[in-house]
Amino acid sequence: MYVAVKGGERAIERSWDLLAVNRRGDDTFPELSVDQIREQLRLAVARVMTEGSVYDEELAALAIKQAAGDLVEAIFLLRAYRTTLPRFGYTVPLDTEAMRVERRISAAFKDIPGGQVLGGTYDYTQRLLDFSLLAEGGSRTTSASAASPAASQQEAMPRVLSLLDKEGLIEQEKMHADAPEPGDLSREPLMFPVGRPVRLQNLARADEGFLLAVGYATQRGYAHSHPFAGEIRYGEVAVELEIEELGFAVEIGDIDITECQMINQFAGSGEVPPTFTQGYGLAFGHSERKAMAMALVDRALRAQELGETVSSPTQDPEFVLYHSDNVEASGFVQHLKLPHYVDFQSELELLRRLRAGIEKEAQHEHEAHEEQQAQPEPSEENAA
Amino acid sequence: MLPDKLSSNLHGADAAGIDLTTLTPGFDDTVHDSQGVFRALLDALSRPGKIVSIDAVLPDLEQDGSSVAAHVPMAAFAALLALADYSTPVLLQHEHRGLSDALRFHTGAPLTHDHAQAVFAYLHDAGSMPPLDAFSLGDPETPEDAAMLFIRVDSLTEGTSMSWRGPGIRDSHAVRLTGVPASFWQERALLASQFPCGIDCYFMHGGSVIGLPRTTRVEVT
Repeated sequence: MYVAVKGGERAIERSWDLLAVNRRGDDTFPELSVDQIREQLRLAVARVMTEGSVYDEELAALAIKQAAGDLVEAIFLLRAYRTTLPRFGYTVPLDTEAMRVERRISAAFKDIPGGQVLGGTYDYTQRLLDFSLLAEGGSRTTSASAASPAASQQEAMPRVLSLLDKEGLIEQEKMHADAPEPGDLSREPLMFPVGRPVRLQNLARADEGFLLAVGYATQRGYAHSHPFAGEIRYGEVAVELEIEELGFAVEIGDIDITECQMINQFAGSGEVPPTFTQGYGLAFGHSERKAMAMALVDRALRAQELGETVSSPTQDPEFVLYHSDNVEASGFVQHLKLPHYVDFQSELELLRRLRAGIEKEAQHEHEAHEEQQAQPEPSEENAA
Repeated sequence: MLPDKLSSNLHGADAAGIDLTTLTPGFDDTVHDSQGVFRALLDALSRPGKIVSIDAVLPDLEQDGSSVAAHVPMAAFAALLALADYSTPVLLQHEHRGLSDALRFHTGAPLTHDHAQAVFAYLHDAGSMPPLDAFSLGDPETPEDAAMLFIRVDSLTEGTSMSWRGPGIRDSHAVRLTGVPASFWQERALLASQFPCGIDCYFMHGGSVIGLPRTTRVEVT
């Protein structure tokens, strides 16, 4: 039986219509606006921007609306849109040390220059459903002063890790003048062996759930990882672009990012004394879970370069990097929904033939056995 | 990854010097015109030897009287406008202020003198073009990194008579081109053994173009 994969255009168009109806839901309720999603579902927007690799809150919110809240689908939409954008240039590296911080904590040191800034966090909420949100307009609005800390009064906030660096207790990435330009996964395929810049790019675009699970696994023993959250900061940084005509960098805008530096032990090697090492995480918007998980996985993937024993898939770049992208993963898993009639038919045919062969053999054996039984056993006397 | 690598080889970097009063205009409708040109170029490369017209897209250019229109076949200018961008270094065989300004302004493409670095090259005079293997042929793993050449010729219907065979051609196709030296065909034939690496070319005259992909076997008759 062969069913050709053709036609179905009208069915597909009807399916789009149904999708639109389903997305809208009960139209006795007002329609959700993109602005509402952008402002009130900002953590979803941050995730879609991060994994979609486009910093644009409005487009991310639109993608979330179009995908009816399916964030992986929204990420796919944004990635697809991204491929149509022309490229104007490359920004200079972000200076996260100059971040206008909204939240900044260290789990390694209590007193840090610039201070700990708790900011808004779910960390110390009691996870009790707030039924006041059920009533429309019932949410508590805080005063403006509490909501926005006076950024101008902020004192300088050097990185926490620089405290350790002063004592030479932590390895630091040094800038090499002749270092090759970092690769770009959105233009070149992933090739192994893969350097840390490309690994970090892959992890920055990686599925948050996947990174969380792999990061968790490293903590539970599937990598020799003993991390401390050296510093997590969230806030606004300036983006600068070198303009060829001007010959210097100018600020073209600000973006919100979350940065995480994990501190991990390192036993040392023949040449290097025991020291602390880093795992690094960076994400658009307020995405602490993602940035932390990324930092854990980054550190685990450094096992080989640091000469540690690679004993688990969490330390294997091929395993982690090839399976981290949710657009690819979702596509390959969901392609199983497409017609595989011919493939399956051939497997079915093969299975039937194998079973027929085995049955035939069994039949022969059975018959042979019966024949044997039908013959009289040679008696001892006859044998003698 | 491009900017630092390229900056040392950039010329025309005095972009502030682009004279906007004499700048040759680009596409009216960037998206759709680019798509139209891309489609025509794809068609030409899929059917080697077939003369494909890109006239429809830049009809005003010929009447524009600009220096670019006088210097460059319209098909080549349209192809560069459609394909070149920030990440594709372009090599121009001869310096031409109007053309380099227009490319830099409309596409943002960096200009290069380094043949190996060029993603696209416009060769105004096939007779004095550098050897083919001076350009990037790509690697076996990334044959798409090979350079693409736009070669101006005096005629697409007269001149050296050839028979082209290969993918996209039923049996063989008779092609005539003027101004392409014999050395070009010899060098190209030598590259055949390096497939999938190789060089794809377009021959351009006015608003018309003939595509010659690396897979085509050329016999001069």
